Amino acid sequence: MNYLQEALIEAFKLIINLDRELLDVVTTSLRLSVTSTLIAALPGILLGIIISRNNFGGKKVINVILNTLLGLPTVVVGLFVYSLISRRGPLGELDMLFSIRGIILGQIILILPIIIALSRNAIHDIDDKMYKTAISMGATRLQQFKLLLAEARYGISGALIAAFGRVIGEIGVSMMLGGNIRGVTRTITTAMAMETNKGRFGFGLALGLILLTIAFLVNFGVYYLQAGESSV
Amino acid sequence: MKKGLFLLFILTLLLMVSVIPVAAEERLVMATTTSTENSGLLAELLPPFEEKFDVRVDVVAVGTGKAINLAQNGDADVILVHARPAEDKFVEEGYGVNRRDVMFNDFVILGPKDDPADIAGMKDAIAAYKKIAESKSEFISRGDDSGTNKKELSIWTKAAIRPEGSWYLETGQGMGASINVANEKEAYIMADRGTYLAYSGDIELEILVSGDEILFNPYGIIPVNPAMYSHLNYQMAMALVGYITSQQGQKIINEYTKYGKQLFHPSAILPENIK
Amino acid sequence: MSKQNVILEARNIVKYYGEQKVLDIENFTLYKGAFNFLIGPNGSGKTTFLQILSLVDKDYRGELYYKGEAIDYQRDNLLKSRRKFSVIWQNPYLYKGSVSYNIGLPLRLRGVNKKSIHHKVKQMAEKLAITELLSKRHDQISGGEKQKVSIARALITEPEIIFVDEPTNSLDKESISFFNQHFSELVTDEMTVLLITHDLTQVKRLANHINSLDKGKLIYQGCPREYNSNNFHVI
Repeated sequence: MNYLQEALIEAFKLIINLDRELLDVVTTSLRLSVTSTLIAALPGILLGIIISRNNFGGKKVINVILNTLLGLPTVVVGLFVYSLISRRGPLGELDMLFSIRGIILGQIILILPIIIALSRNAIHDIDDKMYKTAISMGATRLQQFKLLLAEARYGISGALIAAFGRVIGEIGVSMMLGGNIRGVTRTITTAMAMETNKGRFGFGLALGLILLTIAFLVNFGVYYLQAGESSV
Repeated sequence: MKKGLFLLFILTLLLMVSVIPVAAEERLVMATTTSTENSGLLAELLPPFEEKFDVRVDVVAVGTGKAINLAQNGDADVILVHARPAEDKFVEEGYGVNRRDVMFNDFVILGPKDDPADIAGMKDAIAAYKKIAESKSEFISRGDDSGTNKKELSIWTKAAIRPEGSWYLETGQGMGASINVANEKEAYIMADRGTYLAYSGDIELEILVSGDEILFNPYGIIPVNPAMYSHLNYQMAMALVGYITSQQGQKIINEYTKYGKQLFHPSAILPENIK
Repeated sequence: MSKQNVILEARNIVKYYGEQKVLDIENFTLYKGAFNFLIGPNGSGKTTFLQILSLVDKDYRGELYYKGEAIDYQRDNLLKSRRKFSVIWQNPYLYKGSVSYNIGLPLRLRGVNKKSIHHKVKQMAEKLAITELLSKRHDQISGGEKQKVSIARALITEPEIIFVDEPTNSLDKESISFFNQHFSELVTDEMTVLLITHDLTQVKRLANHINSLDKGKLIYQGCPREYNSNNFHVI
C-alpha cells in the first residue's frame, strides 16, 4: 500500500506542470471565494457594528439567531437557496442555478452570519474609553467611526479571513448550486469529491495540497499584517 | 505607509482574480449521472457538438433520481440517464419527450478472492444474488437512489428477496466510495464496469459474475418537454439528441476506450452499421 | 471674582442613571487661567460631572456657558468648542500604533500637516522626557509611561481648558512625583485646569479654587485658604 506516495508524486507532477484542469479549478475557487467574501464584507461589517453599538428591542433574539447560523451546515444553505433559484422557485426567472452567480449567492448567505458575528465581537471587545477619548480629542462623527474601524481592524480582518476560509473549503453550496460543471462551476472541493470518486487520488490530493497552501498563505498574511503593526 | 501599499497590492490582486468574465454564450444544461461523467466519455463526445452548434453544454452530474428530479423542476434541458423504468415514468408523466436509446454498458458483481458465497463464474446474476443472501455474506449497496442502486434493487426483487439484515449495508455514497467500502470490508458489490476499471489497480476485489443480460445497463437521452416550462432550450436539446444518435456521435461512443478497454456500446445505430 | 475671569459655567445640571439622580448642580464656575479642583469621596459624581463639562457626555439636563455663550449640541460650533478642550483620563486609552502616532492624533484630526505634527510631537516629547518612547508601540509601554503619553496628547493642541481625571490614581510613586513636580510647568498661563484628585499634596500645592462634591451636589466652592482643613477628610 503506497497509495500516499504514488498520490503525492502525481500531485507534485500536476502542480509543477501547472496542469490546465487543475489551474482552472483553483482559479474558479479563488474567484468565487474572493467575490463572495468581498460582497458579503460591507453589509456584514456594517450590520456587526450596528448590532454591537445599538441597544434595541429584540437584540438578544438577533444574537441568538446569529450564533445559531454560525454553524449552519452548507447543505442546508444549498437546499434553501436551491429552492429559491430553481425554476420552480420564486427567483427561477433569474437563471442562477448551476452558475457562478448561484454559488456566490449561496456562499454570501453562508458567510454573512460569520462576518456579522465576528465583527460584532471585534467591536464589542473595544474599550468604552476609546469612544470617550475620541470625542475628547475633538474627532468628528466620521473621524470617530474611522478610529473605531482602525481599532477593530485586526478583529474585522479576522472575520473576513474566517469567512474566506469557510467558503473556499465548503462543498455543499458549490455542489448543489453550481453542479460541478467542468470549466464553469467546478471548484477545488467539488473536483476533489469527484476525482476521489473516480479513483484519481493523485488529482484529489494535489487539490488538497493547494487548499492547504492557500489556507497557509492566508494565515501567513494575517501574521505579517499583525507583525507589521508597529510600522504605522 | 509600507503596509498601506502592501494592503493595496493584495486588494488589487484579489479583485483581479475575482473579475467574472461575462460570457453571453448559449447554454444547454444536461443532467446526467456521476458514473457517466466520471467515465470521461462526455469530454470526448460533447466538444464537437459544442463547436458545431456554438453552444456550451453544462453537465450537471448527480444520481439518476436527482437528475430526473432536476428535470421535473425545469432545472435541466435534457437528461442522459440509465434507469429505464424511471425514464418511462418520466415520459409518461409528460415531463420528457422523444426519448432515444444511446448506448449501454454493463454491471459486474465484485467480491473477495475467497468468495464465501461461491458465485465465481456464474452466468445468472439473480441466482448469484440468492446465494449471497443465503450465505449472509456482506453486500454493499449504494442506497442512494442512483441508476445503479435502482438496478441492484430490481435484481433483488426478481430474486424474491427483501435485502435486509446485518449483512446488507447501504453506504448512501457514490460508486467509487462504495467500492472502497466493499474492498475494506471484503464484501460483495455490484458496480458499473467503468468505475470498477478505474479502481481495479487499487483494490483486492475481483469480477466474479458478468455477462448476464440483466446486468446490461442501457442509457437513454430525453429532452424535457417544452410545454412544461417556457425557458427550456428545447431546440438545442433536440439537436443534442440528433447529434448523439447520429453516425458521428455513435462512432465516438464506439471508439471510446479507457484503460485499454471499450466502456460503452452504441445502441442507436448497431456497431456494424457505424461508418 | 469678576465675570471676565470665568471661562465655563454650568447651571442646573441634572443627570440620571436610569431612575437614580446622580448629579444635581445649581451653579458651577470654572475660573480662567487657574487650577480648579474637583474633590469629593468616591461615587460623589466627579467623573460624571467632568464628562459633562468637557462636552464628552451630552446626556443630561441643564445649561453650559462657554465664555458667556450657551453650548448648543444642535449647532455645528460645538466641535469648535470641543477642540479647545482636552481631557487626561484616568487609565488613559492609547490607539493601536506607535507612541508618536498617539501624541500626534489630535492634530491629525484637526487636519494639521504631517511635517508640523512631526515637529510638535518631537517638541512635546522632549518636554516630558519621553523621546525614547516615540517609536514604541502602544502596548509596549508601562502605565506611568502611558499617562505621560496621554498628557502629551492632551497638551499638544494647546487647549484652553484641560480636564484631568485622577491622573495619578493608579500610578507608581515615581510617576506620581513626576506628575506633581512637572505638571504645573507644562500648563501655560493661558490654560485653565480642572483637576479631580484624592491627593492632598496636589491640592495644597496647586489649587486656586476648590469645588467639593458629595452625593452629586456641590457642598463647597471657594479658595483653599477658606476651606477648613477639617473638611479634607471627605476627599
